[in-house]
Amino acid sequence: MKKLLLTLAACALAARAGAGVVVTSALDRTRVAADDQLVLSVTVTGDQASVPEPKLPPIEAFSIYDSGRSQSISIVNGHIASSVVYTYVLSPRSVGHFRIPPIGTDGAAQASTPLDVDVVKPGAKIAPDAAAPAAAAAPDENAPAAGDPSDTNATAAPTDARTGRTPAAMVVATLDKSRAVVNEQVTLTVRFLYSQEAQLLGNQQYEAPDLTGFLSMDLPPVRNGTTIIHGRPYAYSEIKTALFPIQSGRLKIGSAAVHAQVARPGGDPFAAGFFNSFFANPQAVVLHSDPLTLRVDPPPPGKPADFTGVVGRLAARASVDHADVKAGEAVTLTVDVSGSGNVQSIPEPPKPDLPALRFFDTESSATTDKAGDRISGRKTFRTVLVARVSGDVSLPSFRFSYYDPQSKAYAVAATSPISLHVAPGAPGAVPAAPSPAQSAPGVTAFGEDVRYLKTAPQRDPISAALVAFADLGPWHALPFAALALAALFDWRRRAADSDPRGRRFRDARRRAEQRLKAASALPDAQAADAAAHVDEALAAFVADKLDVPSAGLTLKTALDGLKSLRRPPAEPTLARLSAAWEEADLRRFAPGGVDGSDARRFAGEIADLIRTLDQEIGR
Amino acid sequence: MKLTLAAALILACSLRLHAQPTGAAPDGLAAARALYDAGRYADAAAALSALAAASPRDAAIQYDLGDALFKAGRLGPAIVGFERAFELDPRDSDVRENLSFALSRAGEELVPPGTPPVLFRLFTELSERELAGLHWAAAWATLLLAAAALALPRRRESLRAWTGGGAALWAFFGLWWMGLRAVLPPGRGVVIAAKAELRHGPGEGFDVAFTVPEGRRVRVLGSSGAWLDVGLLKEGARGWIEASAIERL
Repeated sequence: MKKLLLTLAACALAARAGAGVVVTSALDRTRVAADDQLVLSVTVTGDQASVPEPKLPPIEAFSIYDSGRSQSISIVNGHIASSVVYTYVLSPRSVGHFRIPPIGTDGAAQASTPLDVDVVKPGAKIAPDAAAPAAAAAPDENAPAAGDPSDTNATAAPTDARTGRTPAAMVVATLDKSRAVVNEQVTLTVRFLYSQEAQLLGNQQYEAPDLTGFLSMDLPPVRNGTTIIHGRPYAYSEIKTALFPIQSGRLKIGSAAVHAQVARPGGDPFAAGFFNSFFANPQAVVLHSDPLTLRVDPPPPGKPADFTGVVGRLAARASVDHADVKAGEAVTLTVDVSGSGNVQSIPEPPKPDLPALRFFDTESSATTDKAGDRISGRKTFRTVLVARVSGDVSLPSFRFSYYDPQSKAYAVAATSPISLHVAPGAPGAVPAAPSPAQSAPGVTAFGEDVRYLKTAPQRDPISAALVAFADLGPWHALPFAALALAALFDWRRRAADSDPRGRRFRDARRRAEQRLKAASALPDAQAADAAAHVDEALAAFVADKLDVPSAGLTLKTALDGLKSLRRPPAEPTLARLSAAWEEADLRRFAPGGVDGSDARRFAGEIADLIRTLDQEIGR
Repeated sequence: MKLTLAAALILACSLRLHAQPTGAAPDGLAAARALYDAGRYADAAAALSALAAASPRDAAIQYDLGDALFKAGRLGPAIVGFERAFELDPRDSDVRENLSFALSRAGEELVPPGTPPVLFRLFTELSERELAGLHWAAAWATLLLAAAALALPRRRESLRAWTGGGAALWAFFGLWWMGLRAVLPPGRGVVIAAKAELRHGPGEGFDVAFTVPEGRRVRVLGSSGAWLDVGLLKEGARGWIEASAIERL
């Protein structure tokens, strides 16, 4: 049998590349409830050892889970035929009539035909599906009751009708159980038995049975041994295969076949003596096992909403590479699921809805263990996540629902929650995004919604006034200008205070005019006082300009002083001053005095004279 | 006194000129809300957009516009509406909540990473324009008090304390204002395209550096033709993007 397998492998390696590839697809049914699942089988066949993977088009109406693949290579008369069945579980997203588009591969000569499927509401009655593939199960109503003799898990060793003896060589197929649920492991054992009388020549070729409706995995190695059946000793080679039914019903397992060369002595080839074989011509014979039937039950009612079809017994564990991180730093989250059953088909758990964390794409890897002819394994999901904000973040547990065939109940393998302690990140730190292609879309699904419209918006008058005030623009220069003016005013005042002589010189006219104004305001009855005010105003003006005391100032002193100034007045002005001075003295000290109206006129003349003097002397 | 009265009159007129209308037409608002309630979010957004153009300083209309755009599935423009409402009325809890919610859908947070939420809340309690108003009010008070102190030597001592207090307020509000402008700088924009491509240069001929999801906030650093040089506020990355993919705040 080892030689047989080696022959198969060598033939597979020598297979031609680029030969024709045909893709076919099939559904286990064409009508399904919205809360149930469909099984899509895509078979890629070609006359080469390695066929390409199918390219599944987007199927919006279903969530698709990869449920694994099974490959078979058969060599018949030197012709290689390879067939790989890819199995997908489709979970409906909505109710309606949908079409699964043609499925092809790279370089496929022929794509599959489209498939129609109706998704009905949960609980609706679904009639038996006539369009289901013939290779699938027989209808359940035709299934025998439990204990039916046809519900066999083994074929009895055939006996020769003429001799009553078991044949010299035969192929016997057995199952370890006759009833299972979808996705539960069933072990198929195909045993090639041959006695000494078989007179086998050359190598034998094994042809696997038709396993449509199953996901299969080889359980090496090929086992050899001896046994006695009905008193006849046999040697045997045994091949075991793990089968996972992917649909419910009565599934048929086709006949396994062994192609052998035996001696043809002219009679019963398996009854001839030993030495005849050296002289006999070889004869090709094909030995078949009897077909088997397996009753497959759907998963029982009450399955959890997150049940993805895994049957076995699982354990889950989650960890992070470091729990103390800074905002913006990357953390690798590892979720391990291990146990018995088809662990490879476990889909990625949904990412928790945590705005505080950014999740990137998940990478998964799987290992399979076949110890004890039971399929078990471990599937690992690794996700890079980045904390967006500082603080404590709790990653909730990840749940994996499964059906335990031993306890005949659904169970959940859940990880323990993980606490992340996120410290504030460095300012401007760039989050560790792996690459733009791998980056998350930046949109997180929320069950929340935005708050409703403003039905009664609040107007804040203080806020409105502040905003209007802020928008004054160039008017904001006003207080600066006011301050500048005040500063200038203050500077001038300080400058004046520091120069009393100059201040007296500059203020001479203002003070004189104040006196003249006071004189004009006096009533006519006080004409003498008015004359005195006028006289003092003129004398004080000249004294201020000359910075001398006004008391005792004579006309001659005044004229001399004025002439000595840097800018002396003009002679006519000095002449007017002399005349006005003498008249003022006369009016002040003359015994008759003057009347009131004349005093005001004279005050006006003096005021005009003072203005002239002030202009000519300068300020 | 005459000068003071004239200045006050000019100021009052100026305030009236600068004051923007804050109330939209009630009928238009009611019609837009009826469309929103009927589930016609795109129509409601169009109606509110016209109202917002007429009353750009009305925070409630900007908020409603953001709401309608969000419900219509336009995340980027919705964030623009919420951002504008937040700039106008940062104390409104609905505005904060919706802006934070919409930003989270775009992969961003309202509170910068590493900033205590309470501190951010206090820092943004006043809008940028309100802080500008307080800054200028304190400046006016300080400068006028200083001018009065200069002009009135006899009251200089009593005015000096008031002037010092005004100057302290001026500095306080001025620093706060500048800080807020640093955190929420002018020239910001929001990506409104579904998945905008940022390139190494201003043109299709430059390679795509990375893509940015809709709703991501950027800072516009420059422009060249129909392309904008933008920096991502969150990641600190920089690239060129078509101007049509950005709506500036």
